[in-house]
Amino acid sequence: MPTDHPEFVHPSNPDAAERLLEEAAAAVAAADGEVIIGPWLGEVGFEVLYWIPFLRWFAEKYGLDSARTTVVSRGGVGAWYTRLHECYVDIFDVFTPDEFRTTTLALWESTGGLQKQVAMREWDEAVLDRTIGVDWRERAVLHPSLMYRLFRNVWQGALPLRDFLDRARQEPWPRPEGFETYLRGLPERYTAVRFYFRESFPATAENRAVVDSVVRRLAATRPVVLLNTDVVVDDHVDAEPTDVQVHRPLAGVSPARNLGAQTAVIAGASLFVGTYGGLAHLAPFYRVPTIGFASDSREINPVHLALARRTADDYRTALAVTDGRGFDALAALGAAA
Amino acid sequence: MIVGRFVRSLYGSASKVSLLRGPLDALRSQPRVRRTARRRAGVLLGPGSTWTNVDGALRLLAEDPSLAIAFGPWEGDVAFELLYWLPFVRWAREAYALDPARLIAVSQGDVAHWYADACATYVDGERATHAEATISPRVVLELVAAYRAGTAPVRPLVKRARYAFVPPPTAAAEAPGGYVALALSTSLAAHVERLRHAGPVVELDVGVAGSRQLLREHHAILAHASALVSSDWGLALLGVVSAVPTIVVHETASTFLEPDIDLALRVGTVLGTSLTVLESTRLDDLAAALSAGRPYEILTSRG
Repeated sequence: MPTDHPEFVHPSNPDAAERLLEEAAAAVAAADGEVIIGPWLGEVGFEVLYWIPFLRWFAEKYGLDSARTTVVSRGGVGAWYTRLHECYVDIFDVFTPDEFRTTTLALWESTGGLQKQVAMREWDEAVLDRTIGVDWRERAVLHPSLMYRLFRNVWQGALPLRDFLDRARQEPWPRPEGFETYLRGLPERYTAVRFYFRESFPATAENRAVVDSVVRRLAATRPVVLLNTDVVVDDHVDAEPTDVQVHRPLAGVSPARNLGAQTAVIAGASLFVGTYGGLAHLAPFYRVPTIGFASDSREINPVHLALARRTADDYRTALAVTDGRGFDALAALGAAA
Repeated sequence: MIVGRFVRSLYGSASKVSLLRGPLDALRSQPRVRRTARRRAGVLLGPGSTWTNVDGALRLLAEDPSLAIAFGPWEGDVAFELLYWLPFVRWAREAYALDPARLIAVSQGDVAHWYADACATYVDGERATHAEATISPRVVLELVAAYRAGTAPVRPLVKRARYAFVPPPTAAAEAPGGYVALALSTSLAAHVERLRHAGPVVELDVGVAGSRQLLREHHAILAHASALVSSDWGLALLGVVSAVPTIVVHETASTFLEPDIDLALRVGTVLGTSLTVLESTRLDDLAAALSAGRPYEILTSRG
């Protein structure tokens, strides 16, 4: 989750946060409580680690009415926003993943690599036009830019982490419903696995070997359920373990349900293992012990890592972020447990 | 002390008045004034100093290449030395282009090799009486107190820190590797037992680790380990700065606070060393989750 783009570097202003929040609350009041949350077009990590806990805090502090709130995200993640809304609209019910990915990558290109929704852009408006209809303009929009503007100085280390923690609320995450199809036929106990390549875990021969080796070892102790889908919506590419028998319940899952289905599988797992980021941030919310791999931790924002550890602690769940050698020691600890 | 605080405050206030800024700059640039200021640089480093005061003191001290400067004495924990003090000393040397030949590190436990890239002279366990100026760790510890309390951001302190790998003591260069180093308190004996069964381990005496008596030996051992599992934060950080994947079993009653852990994780990310922090019960949970009653093979080969 890179946050080193120039648009993220802003001087701190102690009053700015309160002003932004008051403006957002005033917009909600002006729209008579009719609110759209989103559209969320970014990564899973920011959404679950920052956006949703912040929204819960905001909803409680400013009294959002869930009956008048619509969430716009993608991948069937309505359950993540539990108690915040009564209506969930999925972007992939309207856009194809190809269309979404092409536009997203073009936007990143045109903004110098800025992957975050720091402002409401044409693409956000187009998404709302097609998911909600043009009358979305009559409602208040809690756009992700609010979160990015509030906390970018936290990610830069210019404000203490407390500035986010004081504006976040952690609650139990209910298992998503309606995904039973994908759970049918799975063993009672299993390890959920999803590796993909990113800067902190690049697609090197060594990392491919780590994926193979780790999955083989996990499969030797308990059935492994691979969360890989055929859905590609950004620049992350799934890593496919070779020469090992795994369950693949999500092959062919529709784009509008892929994250919800992955969540349902994770929520029932005894352990989650995969690339650090994204789903590795999500699993601790379901109290699933998690091991996230990063072969080059220099590519990790230390603030996200610190928050992920603290959050996992809040959910009384183990989160280990490690590499192949560190995994050896963890596995040895489990060997005779 | 009170006079120092008053002088700093007065000077700080005067510097903010635009009409006075020009004359103050002119006065400040006078060689005689700077000489006098250098002799009084300690005023900038008294209780209540700011990071700007520290910057100012170092800038003054840097101007006289004949001046010997002592950093220390460090009398605290290993963990805080590695996390806050040593990176500051490195930064000060680099930021003000101080000649290491002028610099004296004062610490304990025969850790000259930790400071070797910053200070040419190392003094163990006593004051460096021949130094003309001394930068006390107290200044830095006071300045990081607000960060440690969670009320100040990390940026001012990381701006004044250089995190780097620490070489092992020379005696360790030829030591054989291929083992997991363990520094676990007695309450974690079950984990020690498991690791013993899983492969070669070398146990460090965590009971004396805090006393620094075996610091060199411990560093030599863990520097060649394939991983370190520790309940001692000092040794854990030594593992991180020695590029050893490290698992810390954090005890909630520890004097190592949440912001300290955040910073330790940051050091791991700066250096690219894997650092996992788990409370004891979380480690039990993870060990159980990794276990299914069947033995593991070890992922990497052990020499």
